[in-house]
Amino acid sequence: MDLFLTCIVTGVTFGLIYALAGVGLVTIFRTSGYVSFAQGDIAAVALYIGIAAYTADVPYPLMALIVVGAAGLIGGLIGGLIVIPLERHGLLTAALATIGVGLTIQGIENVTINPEPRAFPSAGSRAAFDVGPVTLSVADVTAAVVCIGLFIALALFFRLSRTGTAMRAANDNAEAARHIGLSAYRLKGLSWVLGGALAGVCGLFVAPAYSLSPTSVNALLVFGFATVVLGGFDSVLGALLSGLIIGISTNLIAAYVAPGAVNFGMYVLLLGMLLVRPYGLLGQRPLERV
Amino acid sequence: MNAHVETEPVTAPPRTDSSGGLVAQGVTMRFGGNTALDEVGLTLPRGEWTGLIGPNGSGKTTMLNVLSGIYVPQAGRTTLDGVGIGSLRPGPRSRLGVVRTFQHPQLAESLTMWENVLLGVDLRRSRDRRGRVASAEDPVAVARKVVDIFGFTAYADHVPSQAPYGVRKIAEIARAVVASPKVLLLDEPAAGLSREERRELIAALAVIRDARPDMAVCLVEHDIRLVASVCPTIQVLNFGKVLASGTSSEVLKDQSVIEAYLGKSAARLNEGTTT
Repeated sequence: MDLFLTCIVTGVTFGLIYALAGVGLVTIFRTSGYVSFAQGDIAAVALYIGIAAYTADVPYPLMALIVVGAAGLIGGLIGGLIVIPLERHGLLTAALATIGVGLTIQGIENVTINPEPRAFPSAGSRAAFDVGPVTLSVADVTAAVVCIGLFIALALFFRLSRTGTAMRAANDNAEAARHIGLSAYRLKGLSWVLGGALAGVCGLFVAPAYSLSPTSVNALLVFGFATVVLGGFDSVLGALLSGLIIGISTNLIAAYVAPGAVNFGMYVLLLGMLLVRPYGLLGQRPLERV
Repeated sequence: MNAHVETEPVTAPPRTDSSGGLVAQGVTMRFGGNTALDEVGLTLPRGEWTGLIGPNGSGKTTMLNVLSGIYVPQAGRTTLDGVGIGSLRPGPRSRLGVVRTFQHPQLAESLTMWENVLLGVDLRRSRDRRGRVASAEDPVAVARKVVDIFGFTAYADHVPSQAPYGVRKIAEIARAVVASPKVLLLDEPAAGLSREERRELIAALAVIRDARPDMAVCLVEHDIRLVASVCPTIQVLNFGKVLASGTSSEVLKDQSVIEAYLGKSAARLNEGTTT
């Protein structure tokens, strides 16, 4: 029973982070209609900046802010200068460009800095409190609280704010959006800034576990992608639900089946979902785009 | 198409301002070897409703696409209140106050009808901010009133796919109206509407005309009766050229207009039955 509870509790803490990675993808998909494959690499650059600041004795909270800000800025630059302008050649081109940008970033990192994995600081490894048999650290609790807070904020943003509504409209019907004076470029650019910043937040939570190398945080992308396939590409709530499902089920598989079966289990889950509901748990419409 | 022009044309109200509005001169638009518009001029003065009619393929919608910035014509000049806007694309043009609707309504499908209408309010607010105008009326309250006048309050919280076609069309017009544009371009607002919806549309347009006395409106429409009942002036296009232009009663009596709609022999026949 203890093992089961452990699986659930740690599954929830991990699941929230997966879900947040998914929401970063959802944010960009909502305005642009494709997924950014550069999220992990955007986070990596920001984390390297963060680790440089940290070794220069910048305190952790300020370093975290630097990482998130840098990730938002990098996201905005990549989206605004490279990917969004490429959309005129088709959404597929733009989506593929995000892969190219990601690989380019990895290449630059590999030659300019030491690519050996480095330890990344966490928000605090002290025990915060116990949930059943599991002792949650300060970092775990911070991650959970920040994730939940961001979820609520983003859901409200998309639902209630004028900018959030405009972002939904811009992707929905680009023609209508243009004629009612919405600037698709500005809205998409904003979604890239948001998406980048969210990748930075996720990076802060996963880097202590995975350590930091040019490719280590790309695990983010895998789980984020799994999350949006399961939950629906355009649904914030779907990402939250499916993040938790993936977090808990992968833990259960690792504990009761075999640790090596985790990826297998996750892909079975994804394929099953694609067969039954191709647009995900809470996706709004069938995927007809990239 | 109703060519028996048995309408009671409205009389032209006095022009509030003849200098402003949207003016297009010498617009020529070719697609390959096909000339869709041949040196067409159109003046939409502030405060005036102008009907743009013509047989199928005469270039009405092409003209609207030129005015709203979708097409860039090979020749011609377009000005808004005397300022050239010919190089502006639809987005900037709408932010200057030229707003249009489409024959097939273009609504954001995941937004409710009310949220769609609010996009028009956003456009108005951004224009007010840019022009540093503090509007006397609350745009959201105006939008609520417009939704009420247009009679789709019941569908306000539904997404467009759950609403009848007529309601979607009317919602798109409402969205354009609440943006409080200087120039409103309506592309076949009555097409696809039932008789009942048509009547409601005409009533709603009349309310809008009274509420926004300085708005220039261009109405492209097949239903000549509808055009004549809301537009004091009419311009007729045929084969991409201006065939006639003037007050609606003059234009609709014009022999060449009747011929363009019915063909020569039928026009003669039509004359025979009415005289």
